[in-house]
Amino acid sequence: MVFSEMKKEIQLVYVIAFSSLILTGCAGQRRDCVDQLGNRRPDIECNRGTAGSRFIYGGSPIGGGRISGGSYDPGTGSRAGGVGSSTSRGGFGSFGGGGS
Amino acid sequence: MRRFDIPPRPDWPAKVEKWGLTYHTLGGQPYWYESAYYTLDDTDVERIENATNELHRLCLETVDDLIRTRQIAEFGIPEAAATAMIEDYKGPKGHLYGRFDLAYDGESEPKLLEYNADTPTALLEAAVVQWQWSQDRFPGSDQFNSIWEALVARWQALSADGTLPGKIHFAHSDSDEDLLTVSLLRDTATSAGLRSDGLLMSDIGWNSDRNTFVDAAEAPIRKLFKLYPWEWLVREDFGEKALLPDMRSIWIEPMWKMLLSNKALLPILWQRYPGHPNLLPAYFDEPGDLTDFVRKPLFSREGDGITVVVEGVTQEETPEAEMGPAGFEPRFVYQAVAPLYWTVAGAAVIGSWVVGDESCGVGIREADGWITTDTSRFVPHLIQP
Repeated sequence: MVFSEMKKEIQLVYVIAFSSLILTGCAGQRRDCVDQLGNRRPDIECNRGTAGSRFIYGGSPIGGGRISGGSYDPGTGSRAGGVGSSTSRGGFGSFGGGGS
Repeated sequence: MRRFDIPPRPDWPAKVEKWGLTYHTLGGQPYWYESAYYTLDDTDVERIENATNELHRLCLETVDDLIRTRQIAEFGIPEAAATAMIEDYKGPKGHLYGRFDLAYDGESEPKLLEYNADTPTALLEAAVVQWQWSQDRFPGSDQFNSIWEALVARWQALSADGTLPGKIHFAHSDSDEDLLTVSLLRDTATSAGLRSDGLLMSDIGWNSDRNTFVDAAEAPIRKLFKLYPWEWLVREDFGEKALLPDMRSIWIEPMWKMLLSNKALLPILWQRYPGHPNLLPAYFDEPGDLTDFVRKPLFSREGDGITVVVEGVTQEETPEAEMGPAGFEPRFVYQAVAPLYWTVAGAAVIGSWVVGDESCGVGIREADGWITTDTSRFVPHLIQP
């Protein structure tokens, strides 16, 4: 088969949009699960509601596995359902890098 | 198969970023490596294409037999997930893509190293970026690469057989590479005339009133491509909901792909097809009569936890990554050492893509040593008859 004769008509819309956001540092808000002392913990502890753990948004890593700054308010895209909501979230995705 | 050194394009980072490859440099070292390229001749392409189609056929045949006879205990799949998979297999089996990792020394038959059948990545660089490189450096050249066209055609086929709703959700973990892989797949779906929406795996909601998964806007998810391994998914908090009769069929890839992305496949294939030219001897739990072998965890990902032993001496080993949920049985398979293509730059492994049920192209990864990991260089290729 001659592959170059297939005249690739590649139309990248989402790839270009998201790669541009990544290159400009705007792809997404940093989110870390921390304990009461600001020590980074696995996301699953926050998702499971382990005592004292909560997500902090927009923080920065500092030495010793700690996270500095940020806010406990996720801003847009709240993870918890509103009052009376019957939707729960965070039951998937506790682990990063799903590709192989 | 040959390898040539070549000066990289002076502005290569900007060139590949233009096509979306933001992760071209990892840990200060180029992951996208265009200071070299490989050439394949027609015989190489034919061997790889035939081996890929043959291996995929063997895999489908094996899955069918294993599920029909319920001989899946070796895979370490939780019982509830195994039961749901068997039930789901009775329905439509629509699957999208996969990537065989093949050992190929340029002379003998390609050998199966593993099948990334559930969550393959290195897709953007294989389907798009190496193609743009080839037309930039060698205008009019040919490449073993119809991955884009095959994906568009596959979405159209799945849509035509009625297994897809009007909109597909695409979910991924919080990683740039995964986001861009899913974005490429969304672009192929768009080219096939489908609508899509994207979200993080962690943003998938479960609505207990409607007993359905929902997106961030509370819209029900009818079909969900997930770049997230089944073996993690079924062990997470929403795992049992994914197995419910109305939910277990929404996923791409489907549940039965769990069997193919699991290293237990390797000894099982060898048991079923001993001596097959595209397979390497492989055994559960011990190396058997192998003196040169590679030990792999059942659920190894991206070269984690691999040990290479030649003539009784460990040549190389990688640590087992602390990723994914707990609860995996620590079990290993032992596979014969494969004849790789070695140069002064290291060893090359062929990532051979399957879309639907057909071979459609390759990406070549190059490691300094024996083991290909997630940081091993991606080196473009050309066909030179």
